[in-house]
Amino acid sequence: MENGGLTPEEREAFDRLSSHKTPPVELEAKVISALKEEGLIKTKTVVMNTNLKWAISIAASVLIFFAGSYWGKQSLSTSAINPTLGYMLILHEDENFQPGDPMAMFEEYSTWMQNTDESGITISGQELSPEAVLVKSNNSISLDEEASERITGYFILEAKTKEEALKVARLNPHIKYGGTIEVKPFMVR
Amino acid sequence: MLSDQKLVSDFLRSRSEKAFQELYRDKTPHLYQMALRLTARDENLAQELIQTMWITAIRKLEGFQWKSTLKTWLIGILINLNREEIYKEQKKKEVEDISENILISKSSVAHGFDLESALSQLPIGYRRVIILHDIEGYQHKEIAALLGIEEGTSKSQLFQARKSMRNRLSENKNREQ
Repeated sequence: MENGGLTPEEREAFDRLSSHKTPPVELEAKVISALKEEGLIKTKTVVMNTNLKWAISIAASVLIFFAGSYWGKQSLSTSAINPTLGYMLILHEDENFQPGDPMAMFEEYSTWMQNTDESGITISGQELSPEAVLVKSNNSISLDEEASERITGYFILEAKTKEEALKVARLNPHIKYGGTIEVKPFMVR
Repeated sequence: MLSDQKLVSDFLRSRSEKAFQELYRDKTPHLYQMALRLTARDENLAQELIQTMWITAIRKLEGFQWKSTLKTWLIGILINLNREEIYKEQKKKEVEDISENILISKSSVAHGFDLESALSQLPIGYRRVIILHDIEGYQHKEIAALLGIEEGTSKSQLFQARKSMRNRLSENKNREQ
């Protein structure tokens, strides 16, 4: 002990000291709140927006479902396509996407689909859930559900030309709310 | 359990509350215990210290170079913030002798005479070194880097810290008898 080193008993006593103590539950909320005030983490409104968007998504899915039933034969059939190309509209969202009133959006998407159908372009589509898993040869990676950039839905158009598909895409309310639409031709085999 | 790199990259990518919670819950229990020891078991001060530490750490996280472990980096921030706080307190109270090594927490006398309370009665300079060396297991070289002192100073402070702690434990034991 004279040389200042720990005796075995002292070493044991130090080892017995707890290295972990559960912090008070409220501390986590305090820290998160402080970080939000400093603008260092995203505010809850982003999560709320995600929820809101998801609520809208459900509404849109229901709309699409009923639209499919009402207008009938919405699914893409190879016999209906000539030439052998279809178009997929992939809906992207990032931080610029600012959803409006859910009911107003519902009406707008509904009108857009109806107008598209009445113009002779068969349309179907679905909203996509925030969850996603990338499956690779040696592992699978779950994507962050709260990521600001995501694919949130798709539509399938039986447009005859790319120009026709682009015209339909430009009229989609998604653009108005700050979203981006990717127009992707696909082969029908 | 997620690796530190994964926790950090997930947070930096999303800046989401969820990703921060993962990081917070992985690191805070250990750091909170340390904060309690640094503040002589003052829970309010320890909580403030943890809060300020996370604000500082998140501000600097993008520039973290992984030259140390994440835990060591966070401990470094915690210690520096604790030193700044003590310095501010000393200035405020206008104490004549403001040497860190004679600062003893008032609250320390209120605790039982166990190892933790003996530790909390140590001057803060000694306390830091003994926490880092005897509890956290850091080497003098690492302690010197963390505290911005010479390696020799770390060794001599540890020697004095242990001596001081033994005296306190002995005094406490005599009082109990």
